[in-house]
Amino acid sequence: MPDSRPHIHISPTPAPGWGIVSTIKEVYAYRAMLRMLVIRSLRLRYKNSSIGVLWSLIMPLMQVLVLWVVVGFVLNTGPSNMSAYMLCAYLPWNFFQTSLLDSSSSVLTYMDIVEKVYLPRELLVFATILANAVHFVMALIVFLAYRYLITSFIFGWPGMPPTEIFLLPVVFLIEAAFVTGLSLILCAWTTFYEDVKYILMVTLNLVFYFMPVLYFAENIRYAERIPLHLRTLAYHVYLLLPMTWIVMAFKQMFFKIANIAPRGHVPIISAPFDYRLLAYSALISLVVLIAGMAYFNRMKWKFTERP
Amino acid sequence: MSKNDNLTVIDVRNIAKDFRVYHRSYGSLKGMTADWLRRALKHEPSVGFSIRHALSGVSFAITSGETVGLVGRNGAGKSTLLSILSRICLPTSGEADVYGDMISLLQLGAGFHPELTGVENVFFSAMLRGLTEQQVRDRFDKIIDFSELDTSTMDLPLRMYSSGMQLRLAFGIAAHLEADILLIDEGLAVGDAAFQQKCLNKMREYQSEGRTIVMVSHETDSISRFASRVIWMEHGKVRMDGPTQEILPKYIDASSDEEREGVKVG
Repeated sequence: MPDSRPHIHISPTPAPGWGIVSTIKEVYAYRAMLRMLVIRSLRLRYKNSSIGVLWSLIMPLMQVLVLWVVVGFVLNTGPSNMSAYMLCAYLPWNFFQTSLLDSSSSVLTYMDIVEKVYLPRELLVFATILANAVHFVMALIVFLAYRYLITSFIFGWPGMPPTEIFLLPVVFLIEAAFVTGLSLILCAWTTFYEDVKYILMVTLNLVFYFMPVLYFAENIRYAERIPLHLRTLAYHVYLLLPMTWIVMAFKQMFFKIANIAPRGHVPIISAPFDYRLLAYSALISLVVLIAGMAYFNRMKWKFTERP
Repeated sequence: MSKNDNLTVIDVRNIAKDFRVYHRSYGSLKGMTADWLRRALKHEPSVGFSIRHALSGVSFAITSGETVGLVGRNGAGKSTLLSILSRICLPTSGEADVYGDMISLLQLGAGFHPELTGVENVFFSAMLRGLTEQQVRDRFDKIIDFSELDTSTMDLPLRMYSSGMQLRLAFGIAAHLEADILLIDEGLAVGDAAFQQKCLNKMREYQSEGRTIVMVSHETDSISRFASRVIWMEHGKVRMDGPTQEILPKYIDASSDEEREGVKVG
């Protein structure tokens, strides 16, 4: 029957294969809805606060201020501009953390819609990550203002960032792909077992101290607790974790190669931007993204029948 | 009448749906671990859930322009059937095809958020049902007119609305959606008598435009007024399927019989 009407076929088997192509097509068709979901979650976040979106700007600043007091001031590790380094490293970390936490419970948050209206369920995860990307951009503006306005009045002009700064969108895309893949998997799990959310919270707290936010990845090369012959190996293995490299890459994109040891200590020269690690991280992120989409596609039809 | 006269718009072939009914301990990490250990170590079958056959072997075809009433007692599988047709869940076996634009109103006002304003909720809710932003803008005045709300109210957060206002707004949105096929679960008429009349008129309008309507209702009254055909479901199967004037009296008889028996037993 030649037929121009829209056609929906319903069968017990979901989209064939991993469903990557069909998902992308469907999400594209629902792009207006995606935009609506992003706007909605941005609106809802600060709906009843008097200074609203300013909280998104103040929060990372306060967080880093507290960290700086402990690390830069009390412990006195790192160079004199440690607070700028920390605020810079905090950008990709905060995006990672809030995206995972928010999107893991995104389907549960929208369960009333999922149970009553059809929409590609990936959309809920994607919208959460996009909303967090908007917060990332706002935090980035705070960082730029801090480094190039506030501190440059006190300590003088810090100088232009290295040319790798132009890779910022690429590195951010790599991170976003990685985060999206992980989020899809975590979201599928959390929808069935809410325990996952609490495990995730604790794990992220631990992982934070494992990331080179409060210190430098380069410090591992000089860590006295690690046996001498293992230090270089430990350093390279450490950077093979996509998130550690991304956090380090953010510092490398904004700061020139410099001595990052505290004043009066043996100098530690920061590592240059490594393009091999960029390629490697891009590959890992792509694998994680595809795995996440395939897994989510397999699980999404069971969401409304969860225990 | 629409151009798609007498074409099949919904074709359901041998649909079955099994649900797992999880026992209370399941779903927690402890219960699952215990269940997993039992299966792994003692080779016992999982006791975490039992299977409930919500639908088994349901088949029917609906042609364009028909208004079909789905009737049956609670748990007969009517809502499950609508969920499968709306792609909320997948069938366990069997297939179905839907031709044409379909919207399913399983719940009026799905996606409403109490903290958002009326305007924001209208845009979100209507776009969730497939309208474009431009279409919502074009119909916006008609929607608030239909809902009997005014512009100043629409800027207030939804939590300040009375439940009647919320229902009217939800129906106002539903009444201005674009679809050839409508799936409706319960509660067609909301609000006071005058508003109910308006809702019913809207339904008549849909019918006269040749659109297909599938409605689930416990009110045999509204079924007899609107539906040209009745599908009577029982225990997840189609018990009878035919013209309203033929099937509905039998259904009403059967239910009142059951009621009487229930009284005797009780």
